[in-house]
Amino acid sequence: MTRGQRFFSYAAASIGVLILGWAVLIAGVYVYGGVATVSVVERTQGVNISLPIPMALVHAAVATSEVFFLDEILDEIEIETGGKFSEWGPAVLGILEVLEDVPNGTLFVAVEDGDESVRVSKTRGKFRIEVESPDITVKISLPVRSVRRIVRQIVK
Amino acid sequence: MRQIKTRTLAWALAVIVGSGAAVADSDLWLHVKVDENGGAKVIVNLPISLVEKAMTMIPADAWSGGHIMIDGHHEWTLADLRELWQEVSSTPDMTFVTVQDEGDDVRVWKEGDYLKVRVIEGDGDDTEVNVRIPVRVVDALLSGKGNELNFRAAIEALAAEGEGELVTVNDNDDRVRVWVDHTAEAE
Repeated sequence: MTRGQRFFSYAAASIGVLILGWAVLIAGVYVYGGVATVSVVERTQGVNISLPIPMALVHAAVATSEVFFLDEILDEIEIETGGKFSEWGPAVLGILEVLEDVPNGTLFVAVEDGDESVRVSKTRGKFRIEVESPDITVKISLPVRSVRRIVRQIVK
Repeated sequence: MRQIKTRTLAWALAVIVGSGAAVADSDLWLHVKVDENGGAKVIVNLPISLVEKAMTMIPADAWSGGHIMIDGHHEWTLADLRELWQEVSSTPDMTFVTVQDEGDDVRVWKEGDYLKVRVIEGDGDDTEVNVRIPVRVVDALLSGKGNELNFRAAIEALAAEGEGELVTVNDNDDRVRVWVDHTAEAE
């Protein structure tokens, strides 16, 4: 094997390991925490946004809250809402615990009025909100268990 | 106008009674179904325990130590209601109000542990409203002091009641049903 061939082999192997490593990491992130998704399709302006948020990354960000200024963000939210997270945080956690125990396939709210509809349900461990109208479609999907873990960490 | 008042009353009672069911039994579900003929359809299924948790998030200025303040501008003061209710709750089973007027039929009566209201509007609309409220819940609700309703006590009282039909409204166009049971509704 010439020197060039050896270099090429090492480079190819390194790239392969790198790709495989990323694939394993991404799979791990998805499997560990699930993915929250926010999808917005606005038809009049032609806006189409789909935002997957790996919850494991959010969890990691909360765990290193000093780096991500979590306290400052919470303070800002408290100022804007006029409420204190220390007061309503436990209530949110309680709601999430109840939601986690609710069986999959449960329909919480369904509103249908002409060509507009709203559905709130729990499917495959995810709390789903779907709003549909002729102009806009919004779909939000939150893995309940992961969100509860994150909120619990924040409440602590 | 009368129809609106009837429906508003039914909804108010449903919210009070329905919210109350939340605390006691974590397996209980509050259900609301509204079906407007050719119009909106609304389905709400909430675990009572979830309602209970959500109640703790009511802002402090609207919720004061388990009581909800009532302003002093109502035709009926709470003192009037308490006095009236004392008379009603201490009586044996009987009909308190019967109104029959041009096809309309209103009846309010006490039957066992329940206060029942039945309104039938026969004026071409065929509206029928049925409300069934446990006496103990009203007792608890009016147990607050001064200008306060003891909402939390009402909830605790209702918790013991468990499953039951709370409100039904049927007319030519709309159907409303509010009830509590142990069934989680699936999609």
